[in-house]
Amino acid sequence: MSVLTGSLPGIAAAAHDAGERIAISETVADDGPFHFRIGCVSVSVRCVHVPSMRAFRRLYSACTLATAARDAISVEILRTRDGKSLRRRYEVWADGVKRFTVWNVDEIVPHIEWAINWQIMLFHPRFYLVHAGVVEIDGAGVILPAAPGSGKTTLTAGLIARGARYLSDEFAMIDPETLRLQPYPKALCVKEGSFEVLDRLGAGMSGRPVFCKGKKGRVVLIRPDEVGGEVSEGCPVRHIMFCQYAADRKPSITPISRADGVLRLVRESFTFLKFRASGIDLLTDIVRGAQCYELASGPLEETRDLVLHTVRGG
Amino acid sequence: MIPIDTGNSVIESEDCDARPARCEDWISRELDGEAIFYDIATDTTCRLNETALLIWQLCDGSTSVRNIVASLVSEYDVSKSEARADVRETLSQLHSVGLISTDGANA
Repeated sequence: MSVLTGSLPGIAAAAHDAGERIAISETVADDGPFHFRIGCVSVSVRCVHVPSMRAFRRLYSACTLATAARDAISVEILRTRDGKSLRRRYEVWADGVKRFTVWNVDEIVPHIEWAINWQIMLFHPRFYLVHAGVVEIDGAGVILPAAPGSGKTTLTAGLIARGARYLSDEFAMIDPETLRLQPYPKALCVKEGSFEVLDRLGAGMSGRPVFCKGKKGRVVLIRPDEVGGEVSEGCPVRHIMFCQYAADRKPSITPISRADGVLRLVRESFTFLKFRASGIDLLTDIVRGAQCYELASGPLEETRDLVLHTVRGG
Repeated sequence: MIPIDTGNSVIESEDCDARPARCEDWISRELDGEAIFYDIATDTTCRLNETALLIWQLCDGSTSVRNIVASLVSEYDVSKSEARADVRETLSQLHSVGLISTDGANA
């Protein structure tokens, strides 16, 4: 139990509306709300299922804030019952909108993360977003755009276990003004098929809570420091590697043209339709300062070494 | 070649005097001799490689297909028949995505 001096977002808004400034001493319950700054994203989470709230807090213990940030995404998990069967269920609300309903407690934490990702995609006004794993290697930003199931989280984890600094396993968040990558160091979401390989990296997979993430199946969430990685503070984009995974092939990397890189980035973008013509300009400017490749990824260790070798000028 | 499906050929003969014209509605950005095109009306994007970009640039509404073929022959080390085939296919693709129009062809 922690004691905060501050105010709930809703209360703060009401106070401002009334032209007042109030400070509320509050004892935060085990279900929150708890406040976090995950890289450049602020979040407040309240979860009625206390073990899930604890699991989320453990994942983001290094990102804790004492009070809610003004621009925080607000996620709330409520317990309800199905109207017909009376079976217990949990509703995941984000900024006042119901995003998901889950029926099992092992689905809650991944859906908190999912709700945050949705809010970032839909409403984060500032950044251009590409679906990608992102790391910094020797100061150079490396974007690994890939379709779901292409192994980008596993490759990202493999790279940070070898000294790369972590930015995200979900979004390349690009500041349109500086063209620099911004960190969104969410917990790495590892699917069941990669548990063994992550164990080889020293992530200590046994005994970890296993969550269920809808159709993606069983997942484990890992903090970047648990595979030995540090978090980047942001960096310029220098390499863009479009990944396609096949389990049993020797990995290879092939340069592609920058124009091809722009076209592929558009396809992997979450926010292109927010930026449109300025998005073309932004992506064109980014690839002018970067090398673009097609990465045919395979077994993790070989793929990871190939990426490191390429970035380090081999 | 540009990464789009080939539509029906609009240039039926390499000897025709069609004078295709670029559509200027697209936003284009050149990168290392290639180009990215974006149509804000339809949110369509496409990429032209170096050869396709040259052909598109020659589509000024006054240059005939025959002269486009001749330009390719002089610019690249290709035979006239190869250039003809490339021009025909590229013009068809450019037309199918709306990067050129053939209004006024055979004028």
